[in-house]
Amino acid sequence: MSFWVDNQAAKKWLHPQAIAACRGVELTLTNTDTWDGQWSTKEDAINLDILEQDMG
Amino acid sequence: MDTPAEQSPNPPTMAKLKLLYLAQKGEDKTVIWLAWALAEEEECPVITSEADFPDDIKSFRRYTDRLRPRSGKAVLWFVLLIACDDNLDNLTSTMTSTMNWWYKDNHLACYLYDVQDSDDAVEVGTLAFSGVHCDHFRLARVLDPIFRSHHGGARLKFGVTVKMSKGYPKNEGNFNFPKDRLAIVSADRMDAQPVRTILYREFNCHPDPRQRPGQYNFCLVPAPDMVSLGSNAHSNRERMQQKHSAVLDSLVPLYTTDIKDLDLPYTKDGFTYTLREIILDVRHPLGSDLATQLYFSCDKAVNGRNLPASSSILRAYTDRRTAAEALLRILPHM
Repeated sequence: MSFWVDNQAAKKWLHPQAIAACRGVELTLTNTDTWDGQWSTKEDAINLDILEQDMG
Repeated sequence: MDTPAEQSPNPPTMAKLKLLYLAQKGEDKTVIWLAWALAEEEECPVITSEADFPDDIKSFRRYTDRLRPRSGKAVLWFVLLIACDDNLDNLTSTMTSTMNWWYKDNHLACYLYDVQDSDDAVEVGTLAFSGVHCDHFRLARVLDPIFRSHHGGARLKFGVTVKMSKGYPKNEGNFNFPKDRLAIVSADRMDAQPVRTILYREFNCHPDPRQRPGQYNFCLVPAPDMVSLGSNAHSNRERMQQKHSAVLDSLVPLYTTDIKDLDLPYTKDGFTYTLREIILDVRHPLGSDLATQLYFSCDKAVNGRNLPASSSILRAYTDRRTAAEALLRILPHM
């Protein structure tokens, strides 16, 4: 919502927990600047590292 | 009512009805039962307490549209005119009712009549592409002012329910989303034609779904009784039903509890937005200006068992499922 409208809109429309869970999200864009559904966060990177170490 | 042959089912039926009344009274002190035919309301006393309850089935008949304690059918349905101050749903046997336990214990069921303030409701039609993903309470709220504005400010008696409709293809799998359960619009017989005409203009005559009432991407399919005989309505209806089935087959349901309000307006730089508009306007691939929508519908989830509080349901096209799921997870970021 902060991208399409602003943070105030996000606070009106969405629960605070959902907003908090999305802090630090980085979208992965394609060469044509469209989004293919991939994204990452620092937390996500830590989880991926854990999985890599223990399962990979 | 199961009674042995040669034994009248009337007294046990009356006893059961009295038990129902007392159970409802126990749930809501303000509940009253009124005479069925609205015209007779003043001639027939209102049942406000146990003492008012009729002693025999003959006196009770005035309170129902029909009452045949033994008709040969496995399940008997009849209609009662009930009023109360609190939530009417709590007098029914729905999953959310506070007295659904009583109906289960007594092997009975009770649902709201299709049109709440009518004693002669007829089906106007079904809304193709709707279904259990549709919040029919919101749909009714959206339609009411539209009907009034097209009818000189006068209210039309109508109701919207989500239930099974004959003629629509059944599912071969995914029984949580039955394709033959969809939004059915009913109206008082006197109001059925204007309701049909307004629904047709508002839904079928707007090619852009965002211009339709409530941004619902539905199409009216008139009920068989609303179409004259001898026309080719039957084959056209079948084609529409097949199309409804094909569209619903191409969709996947996605749930989220992140959304607080889909329709709260927010104004910025002179433009007013709602979350529903923004979600339905998302193009695929995201960031492109292609005409391809990512989501087919979004609504509060009101139909279904064990729904978490504040659930919303979005339906996305199967071929865009990954992007639709990913976007839903990071909706606040967008």
